[in-house]
Amino acid sequence: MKNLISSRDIRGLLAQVRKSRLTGLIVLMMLLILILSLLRPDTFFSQTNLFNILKQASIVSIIAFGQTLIMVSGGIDLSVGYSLGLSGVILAVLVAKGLPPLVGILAGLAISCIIGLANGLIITQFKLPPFIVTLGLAKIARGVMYVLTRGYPIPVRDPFVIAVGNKYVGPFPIMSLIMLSLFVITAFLLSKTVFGLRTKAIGGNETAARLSGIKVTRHKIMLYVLTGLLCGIAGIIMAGRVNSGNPNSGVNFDLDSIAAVIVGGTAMSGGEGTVIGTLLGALILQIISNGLVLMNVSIYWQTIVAGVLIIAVCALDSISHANSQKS
Amino acid sequence: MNPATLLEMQSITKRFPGVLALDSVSFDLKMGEIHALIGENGAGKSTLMKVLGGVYQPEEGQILLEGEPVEFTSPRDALARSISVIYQEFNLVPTLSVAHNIFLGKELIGKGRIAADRRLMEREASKTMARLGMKGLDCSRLVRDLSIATQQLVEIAKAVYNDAKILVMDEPTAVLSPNETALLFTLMRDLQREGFSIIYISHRLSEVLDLADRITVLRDGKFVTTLDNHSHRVGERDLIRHMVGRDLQDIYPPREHVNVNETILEVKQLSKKGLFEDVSFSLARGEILGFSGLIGAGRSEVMKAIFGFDPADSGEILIDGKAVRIRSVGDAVRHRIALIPEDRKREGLSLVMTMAQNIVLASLQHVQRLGVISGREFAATTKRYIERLSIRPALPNRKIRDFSGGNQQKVVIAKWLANNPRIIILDEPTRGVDIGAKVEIYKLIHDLAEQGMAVIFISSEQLEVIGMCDRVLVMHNGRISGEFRREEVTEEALMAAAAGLAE
Repeated sequence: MKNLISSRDIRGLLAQVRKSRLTGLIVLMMLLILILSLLRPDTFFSQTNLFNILKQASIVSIIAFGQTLIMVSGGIDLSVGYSLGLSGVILAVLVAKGLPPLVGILAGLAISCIIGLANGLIITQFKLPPFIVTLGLAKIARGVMYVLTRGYPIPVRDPFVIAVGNKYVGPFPIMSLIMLSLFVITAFLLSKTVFGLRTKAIGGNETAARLSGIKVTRHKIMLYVLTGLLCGIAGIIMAGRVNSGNPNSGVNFDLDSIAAVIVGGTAMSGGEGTVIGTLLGALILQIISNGLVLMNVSIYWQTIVAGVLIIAVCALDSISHANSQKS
Repeated sequence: MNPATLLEMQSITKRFPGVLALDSVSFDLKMGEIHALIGENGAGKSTLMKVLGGVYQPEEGQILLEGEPVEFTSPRDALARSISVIYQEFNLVPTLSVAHNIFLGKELIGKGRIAADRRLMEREASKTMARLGMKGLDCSRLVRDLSIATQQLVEIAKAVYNDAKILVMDEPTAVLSPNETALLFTLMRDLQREGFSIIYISHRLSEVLDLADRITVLRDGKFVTTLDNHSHRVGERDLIRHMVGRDLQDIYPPREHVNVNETILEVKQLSKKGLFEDVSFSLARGEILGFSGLIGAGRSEVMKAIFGFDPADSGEILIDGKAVRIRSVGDAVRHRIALIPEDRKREGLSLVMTMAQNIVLASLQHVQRLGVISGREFAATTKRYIERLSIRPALPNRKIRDFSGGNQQKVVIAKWLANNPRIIILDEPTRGVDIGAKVEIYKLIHDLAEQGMAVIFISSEQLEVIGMCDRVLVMHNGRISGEFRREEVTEEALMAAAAGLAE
């Protein structure tokens, strides 16, 4: 009997996977969904669970979109997690003081933009590595949160904010809808606009970009402010989701966002990368952690699996890249 | 009696993705000779030496050392067989001392001690350095604090200490002043007398004729000929003919319709501390103005100042007779000045991006609407310049790093032509470019000048400057040290002015 799928088809698919990181990520995601659906048919592949995954991946995705732009430009932002946290804390503090929620939201967004602005200004004016500057700003933001809250969550009871973090439109979580619209905007920005092309040019070769008349300093500052804004939005959503401004809510988001970006195929060295890759990266990491929960694997093991996955995906990419260079 | 053959490289073939870097090249070295290896950039000289040094493994061919086949799979293997290669980029650790560099990896351990003996190493190092003519050099000094010439001597000292028999020097004089070059040549002859065999890569033909016993020419990865410098009467013209495979008049397009119009650019007393001083010149529409001189004479720095990348401290720039302020690249672009930088990989291209993306990088305002890239305009611009400059292969979505040097250079030029410049500055536009692409670039520069563009052409290759330019300025130590019209320029005159010996 003839095989339905010939070996040539498989080889063609493998070649495609090798050629394009995106195809590879989609195949990986499909495989994970298939395997988990077979292992846990009733619990994993249910509408509730799939939307849960989307919901759980939303906040880290929003930050990771910004992180993608920064990393494509050759930088890195370690302050995203605490910038997110501070945005929610400011909202909670101001609302607790009796100010209208809209003011709280705007102030939350503003504080994150200010952190981004500070990142951009210090990096470009003092010519310091982004790693150092954003690490410093992360510490400062964290400290400010503890000063404001003394370490305790401040409750948020505003129905609008809570709705953003918890309610659904039809079957769709509102926060995921926000995430998807931000995805469309940032993906368009990076792949279709002059702004995106300049971002890649700066990451690819900053000197060449400057010598091509691109205003590198201004552009970098804009990138960090934009990422700040995304952190602010993520912070408001987070505050709604946990009903509070929690000084610990940003912990680990810095590294998790970088993980999503890297799994998504953006080069650490800058110049190339896609927002859709980042979204897939965030979803894959979330699917794995969700699947492991359903299989009653302890939370500690999940972290180990995520670590292995990050290295494995990038190692595969590096090997296939080296192979395609040879042939 | 002929001296014995020390080294034989037989039919060496080496491929890189998309290029045949060495096509069955053979080369031999006799005991105690200085053998020059010449050829255009990209001819395969450095690749051949990297094969010898164990950096690259050839696909075909073999290496015989004293008649015995050897196989080098790493630089360590070559070193162990007494072959020392001094690359253009030195293999020194700048933050370590002279002595530590010389003994790197084989530190001397004193009697009854477990750690390296710094004093002993410094003593031994200064003995070696004294032997190379550097008596009294403090070998505890850090390498990064030494001049380039002294760093080169440290490299040679390393080789001497390694018991090298074969010393390969890749363009050792490119970074040296004439005095330092003379000292180096004396040293090389001394080493030759002591029994070293030296392979010497250079593109300075007069030096080659002066120094070498035999000369091997490579072109486009192929062996052309080996000439005996003692028995034949070899001249520079012969070497050039072998190097480029055609006569000189076929390389540089005839400059018949020289149509030099009104002055467009005037530079007055431009100075920047430590880089250049009191630089004044003017440039007319339709003119090709050459800038000659040694590497580091300040030519590129002057151009970067005019281009607003690294503005000057004082002085004036006039365009169309009006003083202008150029403090950023954006200002220069507004005055329709273009700069093709000297190092295309470091300064001209974004290597991870595609050919098309690189082409539009300086003229993004022409391919967008409301900040969104217009696919149609983008494709049209790219197509126009691919055709106009015959960029090959014509694959706009291929990454630029996968193109040859010549085509990469065309892309950098296309990037700036897309911006409609009136003044175009080309800094070493033919470095690392094969002869075919070179001729195309010369032709293009001529066409641009004939269309009325004002061209500044920087080159360290004197023949190129002589062949291309209407007028030549020479810089030495940050100052203009000579000016020649096309009719009166000679290699000797350029050389003298570059060395600061004119007038």
